[in-house]
Parts: sequence; structure tokens; C-alpha cells
Amino acid sequence: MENIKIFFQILVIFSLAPILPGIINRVKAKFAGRQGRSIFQLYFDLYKLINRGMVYPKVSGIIFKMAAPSVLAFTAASAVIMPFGGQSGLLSFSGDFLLIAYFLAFSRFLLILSAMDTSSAFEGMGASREAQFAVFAEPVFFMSMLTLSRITGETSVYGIFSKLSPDLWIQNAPVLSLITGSLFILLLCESSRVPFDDPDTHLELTMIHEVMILDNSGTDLAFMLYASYLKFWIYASFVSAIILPRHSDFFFSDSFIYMSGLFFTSVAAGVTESIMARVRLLRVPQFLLAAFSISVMAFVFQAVKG
Amino acid sequence: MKDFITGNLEEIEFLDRDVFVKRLSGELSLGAGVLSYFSVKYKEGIKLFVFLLKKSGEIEFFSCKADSKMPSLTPFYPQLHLFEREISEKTGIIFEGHPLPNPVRYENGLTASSGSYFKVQGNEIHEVAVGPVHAGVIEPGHFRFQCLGENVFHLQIELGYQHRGIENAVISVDKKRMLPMIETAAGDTSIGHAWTYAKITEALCEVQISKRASFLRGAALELERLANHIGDLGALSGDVAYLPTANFCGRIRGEILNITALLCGNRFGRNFIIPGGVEYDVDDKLIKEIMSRLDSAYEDAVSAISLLWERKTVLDRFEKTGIVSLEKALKLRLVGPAGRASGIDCDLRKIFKSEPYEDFESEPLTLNGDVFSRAYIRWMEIKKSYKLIKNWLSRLPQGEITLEIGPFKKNSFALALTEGWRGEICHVCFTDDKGEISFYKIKDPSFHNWQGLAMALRNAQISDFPLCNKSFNLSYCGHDL
Amino acid sequence: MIIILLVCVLFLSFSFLNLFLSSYSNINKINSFFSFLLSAAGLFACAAGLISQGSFLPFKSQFINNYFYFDYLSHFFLLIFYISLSAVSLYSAGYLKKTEGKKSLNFFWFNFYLLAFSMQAALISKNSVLFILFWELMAFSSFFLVMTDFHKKEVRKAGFIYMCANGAGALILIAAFSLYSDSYYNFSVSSYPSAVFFMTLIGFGLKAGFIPLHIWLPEAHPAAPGNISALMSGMMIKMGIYGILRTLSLLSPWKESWGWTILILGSLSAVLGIIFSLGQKELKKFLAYSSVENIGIILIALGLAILLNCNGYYELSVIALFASLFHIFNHSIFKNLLFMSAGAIAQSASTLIFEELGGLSKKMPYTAFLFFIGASAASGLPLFNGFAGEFLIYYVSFSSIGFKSGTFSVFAVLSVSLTGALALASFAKIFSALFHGGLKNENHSDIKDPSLYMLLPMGFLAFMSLLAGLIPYLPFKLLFSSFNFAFTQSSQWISVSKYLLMTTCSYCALIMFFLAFYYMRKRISKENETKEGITWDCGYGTSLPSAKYSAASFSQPITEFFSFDGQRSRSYPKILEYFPKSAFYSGNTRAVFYELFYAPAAKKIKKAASRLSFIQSGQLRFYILYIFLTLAALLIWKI
Repeated sequence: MENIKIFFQILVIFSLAPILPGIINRVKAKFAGRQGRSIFQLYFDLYKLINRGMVYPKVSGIIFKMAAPSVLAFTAASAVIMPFGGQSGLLSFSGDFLLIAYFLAFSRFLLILSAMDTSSAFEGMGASREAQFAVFAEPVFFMSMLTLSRITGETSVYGIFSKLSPDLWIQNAPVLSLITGSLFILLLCESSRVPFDDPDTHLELTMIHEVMILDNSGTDLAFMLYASYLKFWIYASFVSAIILPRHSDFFFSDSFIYMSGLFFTSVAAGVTESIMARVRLLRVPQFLLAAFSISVMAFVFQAVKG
Repeated sequence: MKDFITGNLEEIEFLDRDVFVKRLSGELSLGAGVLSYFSVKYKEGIKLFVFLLKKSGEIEFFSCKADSKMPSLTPFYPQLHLFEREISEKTGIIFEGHPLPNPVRYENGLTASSGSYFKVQGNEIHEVAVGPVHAGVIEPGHFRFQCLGENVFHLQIELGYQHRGIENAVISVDKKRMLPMIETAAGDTSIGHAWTYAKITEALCEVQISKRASFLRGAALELERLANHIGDLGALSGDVAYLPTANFCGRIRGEILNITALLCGNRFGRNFIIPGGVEYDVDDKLIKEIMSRLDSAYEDAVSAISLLWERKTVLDRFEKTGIVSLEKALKLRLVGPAGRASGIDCDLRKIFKSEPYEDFESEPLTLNGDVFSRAYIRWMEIKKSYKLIKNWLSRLPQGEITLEIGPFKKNSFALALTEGWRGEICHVCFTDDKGEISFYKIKDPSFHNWQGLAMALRNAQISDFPLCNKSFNLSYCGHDL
Repeated sequence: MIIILLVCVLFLSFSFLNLFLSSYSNINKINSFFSFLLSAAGLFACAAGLISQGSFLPFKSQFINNYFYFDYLSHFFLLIFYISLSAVSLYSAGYLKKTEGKKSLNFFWFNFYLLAFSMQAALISKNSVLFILFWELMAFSSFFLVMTDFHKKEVRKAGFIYMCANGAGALILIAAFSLYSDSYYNFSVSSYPSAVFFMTLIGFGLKAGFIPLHIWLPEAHPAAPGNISALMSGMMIKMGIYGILRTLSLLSPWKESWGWTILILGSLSAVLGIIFSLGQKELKKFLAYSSVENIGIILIALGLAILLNCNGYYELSVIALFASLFHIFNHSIFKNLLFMSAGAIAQSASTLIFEELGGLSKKMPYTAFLFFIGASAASGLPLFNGFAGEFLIYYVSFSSIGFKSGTFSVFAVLSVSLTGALALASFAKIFSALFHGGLKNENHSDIKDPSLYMLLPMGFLAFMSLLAGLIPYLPFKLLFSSFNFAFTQSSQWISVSKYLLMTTCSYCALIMFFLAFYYMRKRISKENETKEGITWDCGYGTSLPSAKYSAASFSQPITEFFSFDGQRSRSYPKILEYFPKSAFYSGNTRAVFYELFYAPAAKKIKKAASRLSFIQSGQLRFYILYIFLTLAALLIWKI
């Protein structure tokens, strides 16, 4: 039974990942007074891309050719560590969130290298910005994890998620809300959403994530886009687990609560994108430092409480 | 004052080459601005003509016979740089001392890749070459940045990808085809160019159009200004990913274009202004329809655009970005909203107050030439245009909308100016001894302003480039003709 | 043990042998092979000693027991030493090829063997006088090795700074050793533990190279020839850490202030080291600063160990100690690999400046591949061994986060995570600058991969890095179970082992995913054609080689953010003309600590000292007066 649940989890994660950005796009469209694309549009886009042939730039080497499956592999490996509903992921052990963070860091490393491999100034620009944001975003993640670990006394993601409950909220409301805030900002940063990056822009000089995959095409591009959807799912799971801590022992109701948490997170991301303008690139480190200070404050509150 | 001049070709002073250069630099040093500076090929050789707008509002003009080598005045008066390059490209005259002797339009199968580009030495500097094909549906142009990381040290802009040879085509075709061709010089400034052409023909025929026609022309021009400014503000907010204004302004611009279509059946105002007046008349019912539509569109625009000035994140992006100082703007002679945003008082409607702008007034603003200034000045002009249109349409005088155009004067010249929504449009026309047009020169306001964009990016961040570009919103095809 | 002693003696004798041999053309190869064989023998002896049980029995000879250490700590560092030495020896056979026959290598090999001998001897010395003797011998021989290219000005300056650092360190160490209580000056307990601790921290710190005592590192490593920089960074700076560990093992009750000092120094070194490395223009200097960063991480783990011990969490403290030692092991492996690759590039392309290189991956594919492994390991990315040490540090920190005094774990976690992200950025920068894009310099069109002598040790180290990274449980068990066999039954050990095994499981899942996606792509793209095109150039038509993002541009946002006095941006070209004729920019990378602190301090000291120069008057009668005064003072003191 356990194996079936795990299999079901993995199936759901991999098949539902493209819906979340679809929800964001729909929310943005509604804000603009338009009907908007269907939330299943990204599936069609991926299908179209996968069946196309690929074009490789002449100056690129083996890193560029191997980047797409590797990036997707790392992101997928992180995704299966994430718990789902009330169940643990495929792999769950003490300190597994470190592997999540570092697998995603490795995929970022490969993405940066493949972007620089094309010898293109645009991709180099995007790679440089991605490296820069990572420097400020990593401490936010770790600080939030430290605080959550201290509150719940657990060191694995599944452990932390299972200890989160409405009672914990009642006791630690300020800390948990601050953590939710900083994790939400982290979500926006890592999945390249406004106010850090505009996913709908057509201006190469301002892009970050989109421009790093500018020269990827066909199946490679499908892999890269899908990896970015999985990344959104991973970070959204953190937010969802905190704002809607599940609690019962029925797998399906827990899963339902968890997925509605993901839905609300996507809607919140869509709303933020619709009402905020994109921040000047020079200010992004300050923004991330603000998120960092929020999580430090949360830790201090928690430490003071004892 | 009249915003056109005409006269016999003999009236243009023909100077000696050195006297010409001295007089030109003398006038420019007193603060004159070059309206047009071009070459005309004659059997005897090449003549250079220059038309200047003095500080007093007078238009001065003189000419000379050109040698194969002329001294370049660009190092002292940067506003001449593209004009000298254009003359060089068309005639082969070398302007000695010109700091950037590239072709302007890269004719004869050349493209911008054969130009020479300034490069900052040092192997840590890299170049970013953007264009001609851009990722959005925008016109082609090549931008070469010298960068270190995110900092831009220098930007060089080379265009010419949309050169269609309009100036040559216009004089070789049937007179009936001239107007449609001139309207395509810059498609979003059709009304501006058409009006300038009409002024030229009316000057050459010495015809005075009726007040009704000039009011209608004014309304059309201001509608064009409204549509483009609203669209620009929407595009600017789209570039900073501020979706509310971006989405609404797109729709509102469409409404304004539809109003223009009500006037003449074409959303961009083609075939509305013709020599002698306007093609289509309006009746009271149409005026009422236009006013009500205009009112509702304006109200929507006010609510959408006011959001921009209240949003701190938007203002943070706009302010202190892409600054062009007053000194630079004066040296380069920026025109239109870009020039006014840097503090230059260069609205032709105010300087000449020709029909129908006799009562035109505008408040002076202190602006510092950043993206915010260029956006805010558009907002001021939107409000002004709305008032003007309402004013004219509510007291439209009776009269004939079209008057008969006779034959042109022989051996004459005419220059006409219009304040299009981008700035100063200037056409010059020569007629031969049969009364046919022998030479036609079109100058779009973008011709002055492209270098302003290049200066705005000095020591700026490269990610602000699209914002600066949109804040200028210059015409590629108007430059390339 | 016998083998190790024998190896030592052989090294010493060979060094002198070299002095008397005339320069054969094959002398390089012969020496390299002998060195390799000897170090391989030592490696086996050491490894066998570490792995097998009951290997640290005291010698039957009391003499040896009095003066030499053969315990776990010595064995561990000897192991690392032999790994580095065997790799570097084989590498030297290929590296010094270019200088064969050009100049006499006798002196070089003399110093090389002497250095090897002195390092081994220092690691096993129990007596502080012997230790200082071997320490100074190590300093001198490495000084001469660093100055191999003494005709270059920067090499001389580097040698001078290096000598100053060595001298200062030795002086402080002598002072510290005098405070030990043993009458024979063996390493023993001391009645002034804090004084001894801080003095040895500074003395050994000058060798280990943490901030602020690191200024000689970025000078000496680039100046030395490739194989020597590898040896220095891979092993010699660890001698400093050995010294600190040895001191800690003697001064029994540890104090919290010591732990905090080491933790803060480590965090500073880690973060500042990697920030400095981001701004570098040259590969070896970059790697030198990266060594400073890794020493910082080692110190962070050590600081954690001390603090946990002081707060009573003994088991976790041992794990933290293991983390520190593990990182020493891993760092030695990947740093050797990186420096060796740098040497290979220097040999082929004659330059190591990033902006002059580029596109080497097509010409030197093996080097590129091995460098990639080294760079990923150095960035602390999973699948490679750099991650394993950091993983343990995280484990210890997160386990102790709930403790009342848990602030130090926050500090450690934040420093390590910030360093990791910065290291990722900097290694991505250099890897792309060196290997990606088109060939920047046409002179480089005929370069190729280095010889097998150089590739083999690099390959071996890369293989070890990959192995230790994929299955971290293996080296963890092999290296640390002999520390204290009883400890292997404790709950912490079991939990850490489980932890490391699960990491390997995750890697398996990862590899399966990768293979699945790779084959999926292969199958799908069989039906569609894969074409070659050009990088998107916006339809410009002509290729623009200067459009490749330069290395300085890549790191510009980060370096500008961290530049504390805006000096960097003041050097940007300010183009004032409308149509400029020319402009030039060259970034300046200054050694902050050296220029802002040490150099002015040295100037002031020199000035103050010159005021005292009147003592050296040159007149004999004053010297006799000084002798008389000193004798009188001694007489009075003794009475």
C-alpha cells in the first residue's frame, strides 16, 4: 500500500507540475480583464516542443548538449524528496533538505555553464544575474530551514511538515507567518517571477531565466521548461505545507488539502505578479536581504521564546 | 507666425564655401537649431542647403557649392552629425574631422555590419550586439553596447534596415501617389507627415485653407498624439511588468484609433489630410459621437495612468533612469517630448502658434530628462490634447473642407514644419522651371533623437535599456526613409 | 611505521644525492619516479595503518616513543601527505619537461626531497625542538622551490613576503613551545593553556593561511611552478591545521573562547576568501584564495567541535571534528587536481589570465573534463567530495540548533551556505572563461592535452573525488573508524552513517533519472533531425567574438556589491565626448589586507626601526660596550 502511495505521489507531482504556472497565467489574465490562456496550455506547449528537432550552436561543447537532461534530472531528484500530502517522499532522511538545496544548486551550476557555453552576450548576462541572485537567496533558504527545524525539532523535510499543525500555528504565529513571508519571496525569486524577473517579457536584455535557455530548442527546451515548473512546485510545497498544515490520517483528504495549498500559493503568486512592478536589478540583492532579515527575525523570536 | 516658408530659389543666399561654414557655425553658436541640412545634385556640382531655426523663431537659410572635402562642424555642434553623414553617404563628400563617418542608411546592399564601431579597449570589456532582429515585434535596428557586467559605458546605434528610398521615389511617381507614399514614411506619424506635405503644397500654390479644415486637421493630429502617447505609457508600464496600466492602455489606444477611423475610415488617419484641406467632413451627429467616445476613453486613461504615479515600485524604476541632461539635449538638439523632458522649450505649436494653435499655451515644467520625465511629459500632453480636441470640435466654424490646388510656383522652394507627436517634422521641397517637384526632403523627428537615446545609456545599467528605448520611442523607419 | 621511517630517511638521502649528481637530461624523470615510488610505499603503509585495527601500538623502542608520534593524527595527515606527494611526483615528470635541459634541476629536486622529508618528519615529531627544526627546514626548502623562477620580479616579491610570514610564524611558535611544561620540550601539557593556544594559532595560522594571516598565499602560489603550488596548497597549508589540532589535543580542557575565535576566523576566511577570489584575473591566484576559503570551512568545523565539546555534547563534537578532517582530506584531493590542471594549461597556453584564454574545451578535452570535476568538487556540489565535508558540518549544525547555546550553529550554517553560493558563482565564472566559447587567442590553436604523466595523477585524483563523493560512507568509515573504535558503536556514528548512505541512495535515484531523461531524449530525437546552427545573433550576420561575456563582467554585479569603498567603480572609464575616439579599461584587483593593513604597517615599522639604526654604528668600541652590558645584566639576573 505504501508503495502504491509513493508511486501515486510521484505520478501526481510529475503530471501536475505544469498546471501551477498555468494557474498563475490565468490569474494574471483575469486581472487584466482578459479571458486568458487555459490552465492546461503549458501541456500543449511542452508536447509541441518535445516533438521538435534540436539545433545546437556551433561553438557549444558537450556541456551544452548534456545540460538539459542533467538539469531536469537534478530537479526531478529534488522533487521526489519532497513530501506529498501527509506522506513522505520517495526518499526521506535527516537533512534531506540540504540535498534539495544542493541538487537545485547543481542544476543552476549546469544551467549557468550551458548558458556561457553558447558564447552569447545575452546568455552570459542571464547567467551572471542568476549566479548573483543565488548568492543572496541561499542564506534565506537555510535560515528559514533553521527556524523551522528549531520550531519543530525535526531535521528532515517530511519530519518538519508532519510536525506543522494548527496548534503549532497558535503557539508560534508570528514566527511562522514571517517564515511564510520569506519563503514566498524565495519562491518568487527562484522561479523567476515578478518582482525578480518578468516571465512574459520579450526583452532579452532584462531576462534572467528565459535568456539562459535562449539557444535551447526542441526537446531540450521542453526539458528546461519542465524543470522550471518542477522547481516552482518544490518551493510552492514549502509555502503550502506551512499555510495549510495537514492533519488527519486519510491520504486522499491530506493530498487534497496539500494540493489546494499549492493552488492558493499559485494564485497568490499570480496576484503578486499582477500588482507589483518589476524591481530594478540593482535592488534585487536588497530585496533578498530584506527576506533574509525577515527569516533572521523569525529565528530570533523563536530562540527568545526558548 | 507661419510655420512654413516659401520663396524663389534665387532668394536663397549662395555663399562661398568658407563663408558658409563660418556663418553656419556662427548661427549655431548663437543657439540656432538645424531644421534641415542637405545636398542637392546639380549638373554643375553639388550644392549644400541649410535651414536654421533661430532662437527668435525666425527661419534662416543659405547655401553653398560643396567641395569634395568639407570641414566637419560635428565636433563643435553635435546636432549636425547625422546630417553630415547623410550628405556624405549621398554625395561622397568627405567631412574632415567627423568623429563617426559611418553611412546613415547603408544603401546599395550594405548593412550596419559594415559600419565602424567604437570599442572600449581592454579585454575585460565585452560587447553586446542587439538586433536587427529583436525578440518582440518591433522594428529592426542594431545596437552595440560596450559593457562591463551590467554597466554600459557606450552605446552606438546603427540603423538603415528599413531604407525604402522614399525621397527618391516620391519625386519620380505620379503626383497622385505622392501623398500615400509620404504617409508611409513613418506609419504611426502619418497624419504629421501628411500635414507637412499639405503645408508645402499649399505654400507652393499660395492657397489658404479654411479654418474648418485647419481645425479638423488639428483634431486629427492631436488624436494621433493621444493614441501614441497612451500606447507609450502602456508600453512603458509593460516593460516594468506593471500589468494594470499596460493592459488598460493597450485597449484605450485602440479606442482612440477607432475614433480616428470615425473621422476618415482609417485607424491611422491615412487619406484624411490632403493638399487643400481634409478629405472628409463631420456633421453634428459625428461630432457628438466622437466627443462621447473621447470622453469615456479619456476617463479610462486617467484612471489607468494615475496608477503609475502612485506606485512606488514603478516610480523607482522610472526615476533617475536614462538621464539626458539639459546641456546634452541642447547640444544634440533633441526635439519633441524627449527634448521637453530634458528641459528644452521646443514645442513648435508654442513657438509658431500657427493655425489652429493660436491659443496654445503650455505650463513650464522642471524635468530632469529621466524616463519619468519623458513619461510624465506624455501625460501632460495627453491632457492638453484632450482639451484641444474638445475645444476645436465644439466650436467648429463653417467653411469648405477642401480647396482647389493650382499649379506649383516655378523655381521655388518651400519648407514646412509640424509638431508631430514625436517632435519636429520638417519637409523641404524644390520645384523646377516647369513647376514640377524636382527635390523633396523629409526629416522625421527621430533623426535628431536617436543620439539622445545613445547618450541616455552612458554609465547606465543595461537592463534599463528597453525602458529608455521605450521612453524615447523613436521611429526606425522615419530615420531610414 | 618502520616503512615510514625508512621512507623519511631515504628522502633525506636522495635530496643530498641530487646535489652531487651532474645534470642528466633524464634527471627529472628519475627523480619523479623515485619520489613517486617512495610516496606510494608510504601511502600503502599509512593506509594499512589507518584501516587495520590496533595499529597504533607504541613502539618497542623507548627512544622512538619519546621523540616521535605515531598516533591517529599523524597517520591521518601522513596519508594526505602521501596522496598529494605521489600525485605531484608523477605529475612533475611531465610538468618540468619544458625546462629539462634548459636549466639545472638538481637544486630543484634537492629542495623537493628536502621539503618532502621535512614535512614527514614534522608530522611525526613529538619533541618541539625537532619540530621547529623540521618546520624551518620545510620553510627554507619551499622558499627555494617558490623562487624557481627568480628572474621575475613578482616571484621575488612573493618569495620575500613568504619568507617574512615563515619567519614570523616560526618565532611565535618558538615562543609558544617554550611554555610547555616538559623539561625536554616535548609536546605536553602546559600551565598557560590560553597563551599557548593563541600563540600557536597565530604561528600555525601563518602557515595555514586564514584571514588575516593569509597575505603570503595569493603571492606564493601563483609564483611557484605548477607542481609546487599543488603540493603547497594540497598539503603544506594543512601542516598549519595539523599544528593547531596537535596543540588542541594536548591542552585538555578546551575553552569556549577558543572555539568562538576559531569559528569567527573560519567564517571570515571562508566568506572573504571566496569574495576575493571572485575578483581575480588569473587562475592560480584565484585558486589560492579558494584555498583560503576552504581553510575557513575547515576552521568552522573545528570551531564547532570545540564549542560543542565545551557545552557537553561530546559525541556531536567528535562528528564535527570528523567533518573538519574529512574536509581536509577532500580539499587536498580536489585542490591538487585544480592546481595540476592549472599547471597543464600554463604549460600549453603559457598564460593563466582568464581574459586571454577561452574555448579550451575543444582543444584540451581531458583537462576540461578533469577540471570540471575539480571545480564542481570545490563548489561543494553533490556527487563530488567537496559536498561530503560540508554535509557533515550542516548535519552537526542542524542537530545542535535546538540547544540552548545554539547560536554558533546558525553562524556556521550561514557562513557555509553563503560560501557555497559564492563558490558556485566563482567556479562557474572561471570554468566558462577558460573552457567555453570560441578560441579567444589564435596562438592557442595548436595546444593540446598534456602528457600522460600529468593526466594520470589528475585522473586518479578526479576518480577519488568522484568515488568519495558518490559513496561518502566509504571514506568516512575507512578514515575515521580507527580514531576510536568504541565510538563506532555510538548513536551519532550510526546516525551519520545512515545519513551518508541515504545520500548515496539519492545519488542513485538521480543517476537513474538522468539516464531515463537522456534515453528519452535520444529516442524522441531519433525521429527529428538535430542540426547545427549559430548562436542567436539577432540576425546581424557577422560573428562578433568580443560578444562573449568576459569573466570580469560575469562577476561584476557581485564584486561591485561587496566592494566596500567603491574603488572599483571609480576606475570605470567615464566617456565624456559625444563621439569618443578611444577609451580604455583595466580592472584593478588589489590585495585588500596587504595594501590596507600590512604594507602601511610594515612601512611604519621600518620607519620606527630606522630610528634605532644608530645602534649599528659600525664602530667596534660600541659593540664591545654592548657585549659588556649584556654580560653584566645576565650576571645581575642570575645572582
